[in-house]
Amino acid sequence: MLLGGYTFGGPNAFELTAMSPADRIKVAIECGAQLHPQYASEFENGMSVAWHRVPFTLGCAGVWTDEARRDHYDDLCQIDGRIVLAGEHASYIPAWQEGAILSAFDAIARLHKRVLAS
Amino acid sequence: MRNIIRALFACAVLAPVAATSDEGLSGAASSLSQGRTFSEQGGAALFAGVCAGCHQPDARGASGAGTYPSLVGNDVVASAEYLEFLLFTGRRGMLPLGAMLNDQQMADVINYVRGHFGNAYPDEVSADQVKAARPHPASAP
Repeated sequence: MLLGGYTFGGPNAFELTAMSPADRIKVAIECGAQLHPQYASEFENGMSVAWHRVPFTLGCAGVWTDEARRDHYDDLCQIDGRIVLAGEHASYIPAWQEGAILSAFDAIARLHKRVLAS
Repeated sequence: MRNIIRALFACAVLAPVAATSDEGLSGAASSLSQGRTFSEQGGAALFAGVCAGCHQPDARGASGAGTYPSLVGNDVVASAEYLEFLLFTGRRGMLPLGAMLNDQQMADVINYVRGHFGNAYPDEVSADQVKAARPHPASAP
């Protein structure tokens, strides 16, 4: 499995998201074949997602300002009733799996502490 | 750390483009812009390549957990100046696009939206008017 393209912010991001998923894959294969000529013949199938149009994400990653982090980060990470959030957006390393994993550890630690205290 | 992340992202994004620069592409990928500015020319191509990804090919927008506004029957389209402002500054989920479009492209896509999709505003904006409204000197050619 190969992530053949991930674009955001620049012209190509807009152009790719305006294409159908099939056309995006066609483009990705053409671009990949420039580096690896066997790319097209070895390709079996693919998928493409315009994350900004997916209702449960509405984008690719959390973006924090220093002010937003100061005012809201601690609240975001608190357990609120039955809700506990974990993910790259609830970490100091937005957009990366490392942030998501660290956030999961943090959420688990909070849950554990809460269970022990109850 | 943030700079490192940005650098890694930049590499990921630029890699496919760099790979195309030597030999060029004749297929679907040839429609991609080659740098930090849009290469589409003319209102129709600009709308299809830049705007349609959010506002949809029929300009009717999309709603789910969030909303991409319809440009059909939307009163804000009446003001070319407001559309210039939107493109230069962005708004909510819309990124600023002015730095990636030159004055002529800005005028073309604004006029296209205001003259299609059921919109029929007769007054057209010129590239010179866009240039005068541009907040900073264009980085676009």
